[in-house]
Amino acid sequence: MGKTGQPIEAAWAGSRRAAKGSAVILPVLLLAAPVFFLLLFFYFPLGSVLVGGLTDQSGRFSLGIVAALLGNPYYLKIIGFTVWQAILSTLLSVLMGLPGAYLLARYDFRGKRLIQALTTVPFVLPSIIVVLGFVRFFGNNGVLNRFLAALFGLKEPPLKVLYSLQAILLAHAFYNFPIVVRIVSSLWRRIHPSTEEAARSLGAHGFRLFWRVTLPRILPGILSAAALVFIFCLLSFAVVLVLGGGPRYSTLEVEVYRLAKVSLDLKTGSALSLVGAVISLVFLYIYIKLQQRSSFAEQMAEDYERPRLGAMLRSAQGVFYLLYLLLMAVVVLAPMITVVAYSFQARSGWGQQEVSVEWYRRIFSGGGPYLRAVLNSLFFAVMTTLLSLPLGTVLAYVGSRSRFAGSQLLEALMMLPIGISSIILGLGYLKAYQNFPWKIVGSWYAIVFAHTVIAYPFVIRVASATFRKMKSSLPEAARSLGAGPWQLFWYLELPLARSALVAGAAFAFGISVGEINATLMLYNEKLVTIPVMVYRLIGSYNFIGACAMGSVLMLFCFFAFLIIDRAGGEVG
Amino acid sequence: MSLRIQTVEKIYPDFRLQLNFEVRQGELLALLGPSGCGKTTTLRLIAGFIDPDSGSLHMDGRRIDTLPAHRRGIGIVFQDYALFPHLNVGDNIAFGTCMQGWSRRDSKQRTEELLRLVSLKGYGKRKVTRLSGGEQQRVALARALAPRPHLLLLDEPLSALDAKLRKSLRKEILRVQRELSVTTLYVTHDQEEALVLGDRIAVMRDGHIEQIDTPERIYNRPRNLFVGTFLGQANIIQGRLAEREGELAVVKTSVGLLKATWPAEEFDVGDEIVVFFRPEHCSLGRDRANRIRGRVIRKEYLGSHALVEVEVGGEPFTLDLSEEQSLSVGSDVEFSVDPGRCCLFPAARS
Amino acid sequence: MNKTQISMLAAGLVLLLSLAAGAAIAAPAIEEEAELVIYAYDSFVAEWGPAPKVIPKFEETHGVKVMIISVGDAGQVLNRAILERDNPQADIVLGIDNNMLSRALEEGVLEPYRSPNLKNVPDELIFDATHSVTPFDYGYFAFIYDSKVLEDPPESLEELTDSRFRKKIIVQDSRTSSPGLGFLLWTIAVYGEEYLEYWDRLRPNLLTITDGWDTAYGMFTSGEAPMVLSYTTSPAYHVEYEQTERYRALLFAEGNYLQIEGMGILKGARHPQLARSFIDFILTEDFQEEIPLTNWMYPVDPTITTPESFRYAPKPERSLQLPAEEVRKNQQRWIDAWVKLVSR
Repeated sequence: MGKTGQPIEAAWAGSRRAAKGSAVILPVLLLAAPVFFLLLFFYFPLGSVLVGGLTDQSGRFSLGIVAALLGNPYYLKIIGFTVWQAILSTLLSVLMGLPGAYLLARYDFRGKRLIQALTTVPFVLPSIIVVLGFVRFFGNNGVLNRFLAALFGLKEPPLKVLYSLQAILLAHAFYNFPIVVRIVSSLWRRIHPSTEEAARSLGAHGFRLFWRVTLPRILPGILSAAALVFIFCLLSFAVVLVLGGGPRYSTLEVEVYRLAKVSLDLKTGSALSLVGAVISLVFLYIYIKLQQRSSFAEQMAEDYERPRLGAMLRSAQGVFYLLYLLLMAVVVLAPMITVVAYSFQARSGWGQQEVSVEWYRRIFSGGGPYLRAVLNSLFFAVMTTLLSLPLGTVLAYVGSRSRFAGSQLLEALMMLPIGISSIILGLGYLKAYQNFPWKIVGSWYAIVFAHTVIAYPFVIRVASATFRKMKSSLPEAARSLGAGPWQLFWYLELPLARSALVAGAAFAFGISVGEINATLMLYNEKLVTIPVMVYRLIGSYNFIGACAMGSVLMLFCFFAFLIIDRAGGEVG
Repeated sequence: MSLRIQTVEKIYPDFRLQLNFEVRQGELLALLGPSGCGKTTTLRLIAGFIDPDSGSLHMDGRRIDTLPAHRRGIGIVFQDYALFPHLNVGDNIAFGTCMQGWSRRDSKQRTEELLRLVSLKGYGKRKVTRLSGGEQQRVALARALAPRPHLLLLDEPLSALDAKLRKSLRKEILRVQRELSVTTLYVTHDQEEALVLGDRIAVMRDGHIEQIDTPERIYNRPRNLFVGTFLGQANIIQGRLAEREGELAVVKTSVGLLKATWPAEEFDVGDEIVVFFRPEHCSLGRDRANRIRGRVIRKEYLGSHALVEVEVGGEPFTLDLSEEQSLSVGSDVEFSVDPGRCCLFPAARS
Repeated sequence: MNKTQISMLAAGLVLLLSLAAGAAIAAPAIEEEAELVIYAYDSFVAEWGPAPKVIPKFEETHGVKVMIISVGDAGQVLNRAILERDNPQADIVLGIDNNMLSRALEEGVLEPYRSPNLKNVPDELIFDATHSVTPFDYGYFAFIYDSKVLEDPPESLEELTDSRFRKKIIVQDSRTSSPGLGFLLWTIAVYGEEYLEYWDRLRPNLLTITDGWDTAYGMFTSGEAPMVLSYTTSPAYHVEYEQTERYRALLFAEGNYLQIEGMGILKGARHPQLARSFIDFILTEDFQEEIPLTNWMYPVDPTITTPESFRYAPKPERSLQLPAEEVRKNQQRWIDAWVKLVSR
């Protein structure tokens, strides 16, 4: 049986011929700069923190701390809870995301792009804003409760959602359901409805149709989205910290945060991070393996006629989706809208609020610290994008073209920043560069590097999806026409990946704008960003100001994501 | 330019490719075979996308298997055309000449030449995604030919098109090939295409070439039962070799004694033999050798001729007769076969 | 203009703005090096904190450049100092309070200095006999309640556990917040080793335990719960800037716990002379008079008149404080037991 449908043989893997040697040099050269950057600005700082968990008092390598950690019932309980809430959150996110993915994949409606962009914003929002929004909306004195109390004439708030496990799960779903929707819908919309039509003609419909025909085909997408969401929920920190209600619900990252507050010389904290990193690595590896399966799947079938959503919603089955959309609006949009709405106020006498654009005037008046923060955020975001784009693209390219054993493990290692909390990263920068000959901490490029490290895995994901999806015959055709490895990359694959690159850029931009934890450790008065400013405003009673800055941030992210969808990029 | 594939071997876990043949200068060799027989793998070996495990490939005597794919100067037309979606028609066609360093002016000129050659004059600025299947195929052909390749490989280029388009494009390809007299290897599973296009046909099965010959010889003098039954229709009947005298053999079968003019030195009297003859070599009438009597069980009217299925003592036979000799179902019929048109093959293993 | 042109324009604009910002950031490379470096906590350094008011005064009178850097909250300040002990990047750490003193001394990162201006400070506020830490302000922890919502507030720690306050109290985590730790020590000062039983009674009334004061107070002002652990001076803020008296502080029958904040010179500081001058400075009127309205604490200098709004910041009759040595010996044990209890 001839192996015709295979992905292209790596132009350089397994070559025995000398003349083909030049093709080995290219990927090595391409990889050199990114790998060097990562080693210096990710692995080195990471190592300097984690090493604390792997050495004993005299500084020698020892697994004692890790062992003590795993033997301590308190930490075992925490690790257990971390995994447990991640599982529940993932289930909830997937359940919430599936109907949305369906609507996005199968229907057309006006403002589709806007909605898509809007629903992606939660993903990059700094946790403090999410928390702010949640408290303002779901809290005991939040919009929802006040509305219901007024409606039903109640004295006590009816919905006690916050400060509990439900709040954690809900907030996680808020954060992560966009990922599920994006990944699953990008796979789903490639599946031509003809298979479902065929099944229908054979008598299958409704749930059965979904279960036996559709689900098996979108399963790889669901699983890979679930793996990614799981990792994010595993590492979740601020949501658990604030919305969980206190020490009762504590995860790995929360403990690391607490331990870091007590002392910057982490021993147990490092060991905890190590455990978290190992678990994340395992799931990253799983995710990458799932990725390969789902991206070879369907290639054509993107341009078929889609029915209008409005019509469907008016039908009988539309009731379910209407309720769903309402629920999504409440859970996803409401917290964000609340933050924006609250920002249009000013505190006047007697503790009363009145509608005003005062804060926006304050922000955008020249020379003020707020405008400075806005411009700084913009600057960092642009620099981060410029740096993480080539970094991520090159890594994605080499990764998608390599077939050697362990290449997937390597890919998982490249994606590791997703599995490391940004607190640890910030700490690492503090520790690692203490005795460096030139100043790193307190410089603007430290922040750019930290943001880049955090953002580039997402660029990899987006670019990777596109490189893999490329039909193998295209590079072969180019090669037969005389394109060497470099020309192949430059004249064919890069141009074809253009939309993915735009998407990757927008992601990097959004992530940088919303980054808070690492930035808090690396900033100084000149380098204040929007999230840092929000943090400070919250710390001084200025919630209106915090909401105003938060709204500006959301606007930036919204536009960034609008661009992604314009360019048709997808997260793989 | 001639292509020589010298004892090339490629081993897969469940499959083994063994090739030893050549494509002559200026000829169109059709590589024909069922799916899974290794034709596409052969193509990819020649193109350089995979390496042989042993053996070598030569173009005009020069060894090419040591060259990477982008330096072999081979033009390829893929089954899915593989047009570059981000370039227009003109840029697609010019891609190869650009890669190989032609000047902008020469590239442009060559592109115009080829557009005219494939009857797509004026299409230069069009987007490839907006072309019809037939147009895309022609662009793919033009693109492959633009950099003046020494060899042209086509991998089932017409399989995605409807029958009428296939026929007309077939002619186009043939015309272009003849006009440029470029050495061509044409992979297909469609025997009609192979018969029409090939100067020679190589029939492939399970990783090796069964027979490589002109269409006429392949059709009339197949080397074995597989080749014979792969191309065109055939009647086969088992029997035992009763007599042998020079080129004449007599086989005892369940439908009677059949005579065949066939070099039968490899057989001994008493061997199990299969007799093979084509439906169109049967005729009604009683004044020939090899008379067979049976009953008509089905008839297919095809306009210019009719296919008649006849049952003889449990064995089915198909006759291809012209209109005047139409028969009705259920009637008895006697037909005969020219011994010169009968082939003999060993029995059992087919 | 078509879409491509618009997006190119937008991209160009973004690039331009960010480059402008970048230039502004990168510019300081030409500046002269600061002559005094201070690590402080966030709210001290912020625009509405003390730093913008006091630092220029010092710079002017001494003709030097001061760089004051925020490294997080007060606990982080000490942590940073400890991290950099071999190569201190700052001269002064600001924000070490009476509860953190023992750790600071243990780590040995401070250089003692007895400022002559200490004579202005009452003895009970000088919480460090070694003078490695010099006090500059103090406050009392207290529960603040929303008088609009709560009509009969508690009058003692014990009354706080009454069932009518079910899920109506917000406190902070003793591991990560200094009011949180302060409250824990408060309960120990009152209940001794029985403090765990007290907390068990208090637990059902807690809406949430936050990691820091910011979050807790934010939730309080958002109306999540009518009571929050804060400082006696918090109501003054609302009077001063919001003209409202609705938030009030509670003085408890058992007394309120005292917090004294101080700053110290780092061992190995690069500018020890100037650092000592700064320590002298913080005890002068120039510095002390700014404290009430920017740091919302009492200045250690009793001669400073506090603003009108501080009328709403009651001073407790009984002021509680556990001895530093006792805190050092038992803090970890107390915290661990507390964590165990509230994590159930």
